[in-house]
Amino acid sequence: MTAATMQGVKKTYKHFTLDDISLELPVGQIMGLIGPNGAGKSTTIRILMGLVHQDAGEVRVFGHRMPEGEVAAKADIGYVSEDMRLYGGQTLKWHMGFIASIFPGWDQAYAEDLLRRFDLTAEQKIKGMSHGQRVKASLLLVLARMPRLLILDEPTTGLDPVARQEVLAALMDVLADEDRTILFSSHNTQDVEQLSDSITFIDRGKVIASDDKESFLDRWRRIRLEVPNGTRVPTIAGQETMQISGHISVVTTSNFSEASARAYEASGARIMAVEHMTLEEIFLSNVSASRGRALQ
Amino acid sequence: MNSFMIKKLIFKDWYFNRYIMLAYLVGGLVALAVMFSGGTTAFTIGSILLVTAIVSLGCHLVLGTVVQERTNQTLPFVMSLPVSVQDYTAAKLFANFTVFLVPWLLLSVFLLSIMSSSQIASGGAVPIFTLMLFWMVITYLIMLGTALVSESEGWTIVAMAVCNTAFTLVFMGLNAIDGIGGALLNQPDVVWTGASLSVLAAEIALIVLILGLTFYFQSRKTDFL
Repeated sequence: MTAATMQGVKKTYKHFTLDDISLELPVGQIMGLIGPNGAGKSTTIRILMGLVHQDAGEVRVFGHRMPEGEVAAKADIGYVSEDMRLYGGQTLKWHMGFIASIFPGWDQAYAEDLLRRFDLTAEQKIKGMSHGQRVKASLLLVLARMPRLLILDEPTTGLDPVARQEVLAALMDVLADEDRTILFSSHNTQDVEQLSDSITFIDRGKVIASDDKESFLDRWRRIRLEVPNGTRVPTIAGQETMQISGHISVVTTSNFSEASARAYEASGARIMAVEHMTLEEIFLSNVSASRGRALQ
Repeated sequence: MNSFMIKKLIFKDWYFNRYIMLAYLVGGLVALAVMFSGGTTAFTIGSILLVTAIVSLGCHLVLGTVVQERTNQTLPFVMSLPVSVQDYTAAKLFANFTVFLVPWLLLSVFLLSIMSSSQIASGGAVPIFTLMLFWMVITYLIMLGTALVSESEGWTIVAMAVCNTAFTLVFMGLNAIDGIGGALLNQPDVVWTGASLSVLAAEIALIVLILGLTFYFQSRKTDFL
């Protein structure tokens, strides 16, 4: 079953276009949406929430066509974004009561457990809280209402390491529920790597790669080659970037195999090292390759 | 429309603005006390205070509940709930309008009742005062509609400045109309002429029009955050 789908979604602004975005988020999956600032992550999420209407394409959340089905869909969505604030003049307890009165699935025992775990005081006014406490309060409010889909738009931005770890730990607990689907946007690849099953890279309004996390980590390699004079390194299928420095060439490939290694060697180049890449390095190579293709 | 959520949002705004409503009501009552404490000077000062109280209430509500919801970034929290833009607009208009109308209505009833009473005997001014009170509702809705539709603090402040500047001009204009102002103001009894009733009907029509236009422009929005 699919929690959310986007098919050929397009949205044009004066200086930015979200172009042909297609995503599929199966129930129970945690998808990390990674992109630099201004890549279109928040616009994509807002379209998914029905808060921004797409110019073209189809969006469905739990079968509800968006934006028409916004109200029904949002009953099952818990949304926290970096730019979301609670009412400063009210206490967290007031917010908890407000949310509990709206969502019948509100779990008070779980809310109190989260209060303890996040070290929050329900009677404290939001304006007296630190940024980290506010993020944790927002997260408490969405987690305790037990949404089927959690959409988190850069929730860890600006958090100190301790608060960040607490937030990630709480999310890890949520992941134990196999029916819970999460879309997690960030430009922090470490957070996404820690949580996600699948990853979508987005840059300049386009999805540049989308796959499950393990596939990304398995297929991507950095190959260091020593290239003698007169030898030309061939372009092998899957080769994304190549940097040349004297006799040393560094190639990144999105489709590494023994065959591709042999092809480099057959050209006369010597393989000095084949290295696994971190998600951040894969992301940067993806962006670099995508922008390079766009220039060609 | 999602009436359950609209009610929740209305109750929320009422709860947030309960003390504001009370404070301006008390302020308005003090202004009324000054108005009718005796003498023309006190009446003039009291009138200015009353107008100030009602206009300030409108500005306070618009800035506090619409503009600040954006600048304080609480709007994403509200819009993450199961509400549409139409639900949000309906709740905002109803909550704001009622928070404004309660003090406005009480102060208007007190003011016009006192003016109509035999002791004060300034019933001739009741129609023009009524029309100006309705004008304050119109200016409040213009400010509220501008804040909702434009989503801009700047445009809202422009609307406030224009509306408040227009207040004196509207009063002067109405006073110049035969059957509303002039000598009629000195009459002890309340006289509703065709002219004053026509202007009142036009004001009510304008209120309905502003509400309709606010809904119309809000429903056409494709981006809300």
